[in-house]
Parts: sequence; structure tokens; C-alpha cells
Amino acid sequence: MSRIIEIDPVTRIEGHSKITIHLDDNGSVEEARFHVTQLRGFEKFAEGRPFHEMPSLMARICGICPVSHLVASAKACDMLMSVRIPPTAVKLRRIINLAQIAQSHALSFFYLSSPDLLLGMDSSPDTRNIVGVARENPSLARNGIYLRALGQEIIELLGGKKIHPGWVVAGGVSHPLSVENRDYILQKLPQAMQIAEDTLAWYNAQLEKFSEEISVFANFPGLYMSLVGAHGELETYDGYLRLADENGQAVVDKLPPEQYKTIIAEAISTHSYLKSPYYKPMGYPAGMYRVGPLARLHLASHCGTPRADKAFALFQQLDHKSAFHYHLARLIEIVYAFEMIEQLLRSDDILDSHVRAFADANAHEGFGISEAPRGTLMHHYKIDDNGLITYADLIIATGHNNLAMNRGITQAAKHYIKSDKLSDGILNRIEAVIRTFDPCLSCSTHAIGQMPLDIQLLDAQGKLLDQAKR
Amino acid sequence: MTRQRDRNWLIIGFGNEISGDDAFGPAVIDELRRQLPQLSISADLISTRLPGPELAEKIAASTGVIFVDAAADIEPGALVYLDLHNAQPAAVGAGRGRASAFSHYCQPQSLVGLAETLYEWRGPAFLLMAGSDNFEIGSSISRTLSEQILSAAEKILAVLRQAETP
Repeated sequence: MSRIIEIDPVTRIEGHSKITIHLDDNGSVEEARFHVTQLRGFEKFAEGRPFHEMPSLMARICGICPVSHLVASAKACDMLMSVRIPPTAVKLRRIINLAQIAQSHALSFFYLSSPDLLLGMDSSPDTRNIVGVARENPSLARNGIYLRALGQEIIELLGGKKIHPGWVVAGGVSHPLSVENRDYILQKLPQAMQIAEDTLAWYNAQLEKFSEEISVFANFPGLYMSLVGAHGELETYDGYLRLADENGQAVVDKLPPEQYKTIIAEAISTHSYLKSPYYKPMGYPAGMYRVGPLARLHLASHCGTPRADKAFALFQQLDHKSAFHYHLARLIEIVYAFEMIEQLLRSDDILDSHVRAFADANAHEGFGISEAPRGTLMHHYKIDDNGLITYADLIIATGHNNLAMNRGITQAAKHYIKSDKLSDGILNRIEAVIRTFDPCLSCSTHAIGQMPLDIQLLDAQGKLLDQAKR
Repeated sequence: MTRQRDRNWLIIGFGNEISGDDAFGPAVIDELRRQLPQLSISADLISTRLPGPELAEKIAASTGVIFVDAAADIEPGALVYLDLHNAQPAAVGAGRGRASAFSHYCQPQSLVGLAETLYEWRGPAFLLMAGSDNFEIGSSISRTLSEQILSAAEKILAVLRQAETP
């Protein structure tokens, strides 16, 4: 008789979801499913709003990565206005987007995943958290706080507040950078880069302990997608879309981002509010691909900043198929983000007062694509003659990863579950697969409030055999 | 924006301004922001929807901390003031939805614990909770809790006044 295991809620991720693990008649794992149990619907209630309101409205999708939505949305609005925004505004948008990536990666690595890495996957769930990390390795916890706080502070200094800043607007940014704020940020960056490099060294020393997890944490061939720069470099704001397989063989290259709908379609499943984008030519679900830091570094030929490129050389020696290496990719991107922020802040025109282009709507359709912490973020709007939104479609990084996450937990469940009972260590490892992707469920489903989430073990008839809740 | 690391008291209001009475914490902070300059009392004020571990650093730079939050497990309209060094975890919401050492959100006791562990901070820490059963998305603060904003601010001001007394 087949059965089902349930993990509810999945912990240490943004948002609320559950995992069900389906056993076959022989008691072996047949499939695991990641259910996102929240729904928001921003795409629908954006309809009828003036397009220039969209950046601020879309930023409300998420309290963790509002800046990412601000940037993608503003880019779509630039296209609706048919303007080329001032070069300094591009640089300032790049800076705030990089600060968002750095602070989000710090949150994911230090607060959510370092408890597993430092204390072990089988350590007590009572202490396997940031407080436990603080007791065991105070320096690691303090470093996480420094990096996260600095990323947030840069966002606040540029945008006026840490969460939901309205500074990035259609046509550019609302006001220029001050000398005082530039100099303040610059003097804090060296310590941030040093901390990120020290953490990289610490992480690399831990890797050996996780060889089993590396081998079964979503470790399979497949496609990767991200923006890349004109010269193949790591890119977070502009560039072209690239899709390539696990060996780096490109199936799509130099595609203008606004043409993404020619290669990506979205499937809907009955068990989750999270849509499943896939690469059209390969169909659903074979067209599974991954986005985010692992994909960005897999697809880039280099980072383009010296310290990040040094770490990137080590990354290139790894087998990128395992989702476990998202952690390393995140740390490298933190180094990159702070280095690139420094480069941008030192550019001659960074204090220029011309930071916004003004125009009414001059096109009926706009696309905004950028790289959010968790991967490629796509905003697509249509407007009527009055500039009111008639259509909004968002493809969020976490959605891109949906098929890979489901396949990843199936792989881990098949490896670890040998009976119809769940130990905490097994439960945590299956959750940890999801955490490597660092999903942001508020972003990806447009959810209201918080809902509980669990892991369920179900038989072939759907009968609940075991359930783990926290 | 606070950049200086003064040894002020730190008052942190938790909550979302568009989720009914969850707006209580930020509303009390707004009231303090209005009153403090007139009273010549100094304190650092923070409103946040996402109380993350980074707040531990700010707590460590303070003389003492008071958290203000709305709570679903207290009688609606009631104000409860707790000393976090003596309170039981259950009394400060460890079992509530926003619990914390495990997610993006941190409970007050976790934040104080982090400040003590990481920065060797020692100081008074209190939690001022207002009971409510109204956390509807899109709704504004209820009349019941609106009427408690001044009382909560006065309670905090009394602590600050006492702290400033030589």
C-alpha cells in the first residue's frame, strides 16, 4: 500500500509551504512535492492603476526583496515611457540592486542556513538557529549581522528606508546621491569585503563534512538561466538572457531579455499556487531550469571584480549540478556586490544631479528584467491609451526554480527515507534542499499573511501515515 | 536616520501599518516621535515590520530597550508590560505565528539574547504588548487600540523620565 509523509511547515524559508512525500506500494519514495499554500494576486489588482504607480505598488509584494521588484518594475515603466534613463540613474539603480542582493544573501546564508552548516544537520532543532550559531560561533553571527545591516543601510541611505523605499521610479531615481552618503558607504565597504572573504574561507573548510548532502541535494543535470553581460560577465541589472546545460553548453544566448516569452512558458499544477515556468522547446516538465546565484555563476565567464574572480576560480572547479553550491555562490556574490558597489560609487558622475527622465506613456507594452537575489525577475505590463495597466505578468525567481525544487526534494527523499517514519535529521535535510534555493514565497505567489506548513507522508491512497509540524 | 551610536534608550515598534491593530507598535513610535522633542527626552525610535537579527546590534548600542507590539493572545484592549529578563517565553509570544529564531522574524527575547551573547550587552529590556483580535489585512487600527496609543506612550515616557533622573 502506498503512503504519504508530510512536512508542515518548512522552516527557515521566506513564506509558508509544506512538503508531501508519496510512497509507493512497496514503501519506497515515489515523489515529493513542494506545496506553496499562499496566494496574493498582485498581477490582478494592478489592473486599472496608472503605470507610474507600479514600482511602488510592486515593491509591496515582499518585505525581503522589495528593491528587486522596484528595479524590474521601473525598467518596465522606462520602456512604457520609451525613455533612456540618465547614466547616473542606471548606476544608482545598480547600487541599490546590489545592496539588496548582498543583504538578502546574508540573511539566507548566515541566519537561515549557517545553523545547518555550523551545528550540523542532525543537531537539536531547539538550538539549530541563529541564536545557537551566536552561542557556538559568535564571530560568524556578528559577521552575518554586519553584512545584512550594511546592505540594508545602503538601501536606506539611497532609498530613504530599508523596506519598501520608493526612490527607484519610472525614468530613473527620485533624487541624486549625496557626497556624505557616498563617503559613508565607501568607508564601510572594506570591512564588509573582508568579512565576506573570511566567511568564504570558513565555508570552504566545512564543505568536506557535507559530501553526502552535496551528492543528493538537487544534484542532477539540467538547464540554468540568468542575465549575463555583453562580455559574458556576471550581470545583475541589464545584459542578455542565457540558458545553458550543466556543462555550460548554451541553448539560448544573447537573447534580449524582453523576448523571454519566446523561450519560457508557465505551467500550473493542482498542488501549489506557485507556477512552474519551463523552457518551451523542451516542454513541461522536461524544460526544467534553475536560476539564482548558482545559475548566474555557472553561466558567467567571470565576475568582473578582482576579489570575486579569485573566489570564482574555486567555484569553477566544482560540479555545479548540486544545489548545495548555492551557498558558495551566494558568498561569492556578496563579495562581488560590495566590490561592484565600490567601483560604482567611485565613478566620476555618481553624484550627478541628472537622475530622472520625464515622459508620459509612449508605448503600450513594457518589459523589465533584472536579477533579484534568488534569480531572474521578469515584469511585463500592458497599458491603455490613458496609461492605465490592462495586463501584468510577473515571473519571479522562486517560480523559475519550482520544478528543480520539486525534483530536488524527490531526490533527497528517495535517498534518506527508508521507512514510513521521519527522524528530525531527515526532515531537516529535505527542508535544507529547499533552503539552498532560498525561495521567497511572498514574492512568487503574491501571498497574504502567513500560513502554516508541514511535511506529510502519504500512502498510495492518499492516507496520512506520518506528519511533522513545527 | 540614526547613525550615531549614542547610549540612548531604544524603542522598537513591531507591526504592519495596514494589518489592523498590528499597526499599534508603529503608531506608538509615531506618537513618541511627536512628543519627545517637546519633552527634551532623547531616545532612538525604530518602526519595523521585519524584526531581524540585525536589530541586536542596535540594542547593543543602547542603554535599554523597550519593544512595542500587538498581541493576539491577550485580552483585546489590554496593555501588558513585561520585564524580558524575568518573563517566561510563552508570555512573550514564543508560540505565536511570528516566532522566530527559525525564520526572518525575531522575537524580543531572541534579540535581547543575541545582543547579550554577541556584544556582551547588559541592560534593561521590556516588552509592551497590546491585546487585539483585529489583524485584518487592509484595515486600519481599531478604535479600542487607538485609545491605548497615548497610554502606551506615557508608560514608555515614564520609564525614560525615570532613567534620566540622576
